[in-house]
Amino acid sequence: MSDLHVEVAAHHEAPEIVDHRQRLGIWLFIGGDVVTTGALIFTYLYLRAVNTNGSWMSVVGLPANGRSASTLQGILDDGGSMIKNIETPLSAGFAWLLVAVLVASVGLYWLGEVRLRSSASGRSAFIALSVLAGIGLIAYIVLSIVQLRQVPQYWRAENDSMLFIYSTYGSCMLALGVSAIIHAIILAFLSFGSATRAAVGVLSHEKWYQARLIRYFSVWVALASVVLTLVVTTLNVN
Amino acid sequence: MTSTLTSHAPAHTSGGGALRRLNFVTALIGGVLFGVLAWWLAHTFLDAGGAGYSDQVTVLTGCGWVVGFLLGIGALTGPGKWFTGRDQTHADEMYLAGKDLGRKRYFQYTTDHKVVGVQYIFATMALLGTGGILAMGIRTNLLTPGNHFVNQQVYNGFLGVHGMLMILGLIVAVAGPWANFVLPIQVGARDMAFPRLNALSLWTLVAAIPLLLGSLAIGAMDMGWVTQAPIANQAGIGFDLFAMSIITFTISTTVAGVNTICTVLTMRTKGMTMERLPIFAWASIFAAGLGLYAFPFFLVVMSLNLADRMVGTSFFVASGGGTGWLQENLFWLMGHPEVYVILLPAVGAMLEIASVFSRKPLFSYRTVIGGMAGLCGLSALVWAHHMFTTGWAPTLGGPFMLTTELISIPTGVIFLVMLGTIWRGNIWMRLPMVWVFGFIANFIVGGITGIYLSDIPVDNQMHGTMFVVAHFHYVFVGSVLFGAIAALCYWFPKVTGRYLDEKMGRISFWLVFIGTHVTFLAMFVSGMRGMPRRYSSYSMLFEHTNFVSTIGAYMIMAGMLVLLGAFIVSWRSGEPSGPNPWNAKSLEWMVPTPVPLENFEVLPVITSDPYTYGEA
Repeated sequence: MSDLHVEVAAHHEAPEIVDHRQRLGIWLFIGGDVVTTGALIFTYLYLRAVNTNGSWMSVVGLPANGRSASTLQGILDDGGSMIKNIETPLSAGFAWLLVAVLVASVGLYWLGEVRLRSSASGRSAFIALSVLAGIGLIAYIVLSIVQLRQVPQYWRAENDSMLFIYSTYGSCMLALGVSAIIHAIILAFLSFGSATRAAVGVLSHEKWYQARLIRYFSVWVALASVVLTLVVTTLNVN
Repeated sequence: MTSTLTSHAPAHTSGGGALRRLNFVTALIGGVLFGVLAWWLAHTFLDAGGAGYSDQVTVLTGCGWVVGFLLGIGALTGPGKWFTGRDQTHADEMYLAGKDLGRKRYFQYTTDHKVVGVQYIFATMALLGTGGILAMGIRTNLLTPGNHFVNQQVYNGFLGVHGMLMILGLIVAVAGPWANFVLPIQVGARDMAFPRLNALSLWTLVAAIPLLLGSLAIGAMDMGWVTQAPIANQAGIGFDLFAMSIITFTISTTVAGVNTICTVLTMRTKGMTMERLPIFAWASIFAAGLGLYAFPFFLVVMSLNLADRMVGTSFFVASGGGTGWLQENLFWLMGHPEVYVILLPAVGAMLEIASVFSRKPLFSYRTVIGGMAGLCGLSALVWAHHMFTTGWAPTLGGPFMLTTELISIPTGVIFLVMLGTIWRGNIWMRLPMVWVFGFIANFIVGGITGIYLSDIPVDNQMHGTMFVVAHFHYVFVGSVLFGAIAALCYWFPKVTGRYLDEKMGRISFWLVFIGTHVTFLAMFVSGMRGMPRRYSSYSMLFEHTNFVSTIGAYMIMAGMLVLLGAFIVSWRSGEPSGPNPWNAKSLEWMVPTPVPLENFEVLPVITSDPYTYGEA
């Protein structure tokens, strides 16, 4: 090919080949995400196991409860002292409610994909179910934020300044919660994007491959949330 | 074939959309604007009296920079188009591939793997060059005892940022340029599997570099590149940008790793079975796979570090119930596999070179693949040898010592395969091969001192000394950098159509080779006499060896400057090389130079492996 000045022809590949490549790609991304999630679970279990200074679920400090550092400083100046606060695990029921919302959203998306693949008329159902899944995911994000706000916060006086701290249990719940929210934001983007793409005909009965890729990632996120919730609701008290 | 796409192609005005107006300059403007906007928002809305306030402001500013930069270069137009269902047309794809754009395509979000490869060459040079300048600062400070070329705070900052710049630079030094430029052609593909992700990985890396350098400007971080807690929790705000740069970098490498693996596994041309795959392709997918395993730990450890500083979590803060051991575990779960992520592509490139310049088939092809697989598997099981002296899990010391010693077996296998390939070959001593011989000499020293350090009794004596520094510099400089330069010399004619200047290249080689031994052999002696690493001034006991090390370091720098000169001169006016100057048999040498936009007019059919030298 020495005639570089000729127009480059489009080298179209069969959709099946592109799909095969994209499937491998998504599995590899999921593999990387598995390691990330594994590292967070490792962190949780490690800190729970070592329980340094008995601080897994206890903090010496003053509960923050939305109070500012200066308010707390005032309490200390008035003779108040820091106390050892014993925490209890976050509500397991609420955690499983979150999982239910997430799994239901993923289920809706999967159902939509099934309908899309089954018949040409399934596109409308796919759009509706994708939008519903997206709404479910937004609800999941909101509920996750509500859950994160339940994680107790404390002020601790150290070296003439007030530090805002969490117990190690609270720290882990924050990290896992934020990770879950980031995943849910990506899924919501993908769900609404799927609906838009189906609406303009890019995703259709004939071209449903991308919906399957998104479903793979969705199912992984749902599975991870089940495993994480199982860990944090059963292996929480040291 | 002397024409280029620029000179003969007709004007092509359709396609590209918003990307037509976006380039490196708009990326910089976007990054600065969003960074300032994020800084202003953080200042306005965050509680200035709250703990972690300055860290929050710094991190948000860093996030603003990255988002603005990626918006400015056009990396986020793809997701936007995807979301709205406006997929790219063929004209768009051609524009993205840099068709008809001439030199402009090197400053844009271009998807052509060859352009991305060249962009990676310059990104790597920026990383290694800046890291090298910092190394000169460090060595100048250590020239004499009590020297105050820079103050201690700056010295510590130099150490940390030098370390990380070099690590990042070496991670991409071979995998960046050559797994992009060469690999798709080697396997008979028209491009990488995901061209837009390919460009994303490059520009994400570029976005990360200013963050890392910016950390120096705002106080750096004084705990070395290992970001050890609790020092990291107490460091200044420079650490925040440092951690942001790492998080950004892990996204870049993950995307690049997925792309590399998918390209090799799914885009091979007809007849390119896995057993006919060039060894560089094997090395690339092993390194990419290992990176996919290792770098998420980097992401997590840096994120948790930032969380401790920004919002008061207690992951690594002992007073809050956390532990520095957790940080060390997470860090080294990444840290040791990362060594092989760096090493494997360089070794793969040098095995290619060894075969071509010895005019012999690669010795024991399957064995070296087994060696690479063994290296990858074992590298995930050795991390705690970095923690022998920390007191963490002493009972696990024995098993980790064993796994670390075991890893010398696959390493030795790869080394023997290289020697076996060269053995009794008809050696053609051109520039790439010279650097391969340099690697062989250096890697022996780096490898064997590594075995010493894997033994707990020796490690107890040597840990935290300059001996360790000398060991890993023999691996990174003496081995990986030599491999990266060998790869540059080897594939330079394919990129430019010209040879890299042989004479200047050899001068560079001898300066760097002798400089490496002068620097690091003297450093071994400093270490064995007990000089701790990371110290900015030292006892008179170490005066002479440090003086010698600094002189050696200047030699390395001089050699690298000569190489840079050779690079510039050769690119502009080097001796023309033709499409296959080395008479090599892998596919990248079968296509014209410059390589056409989609590499092959008709995809080739492969009937043998690329190492059939000396066969009928």
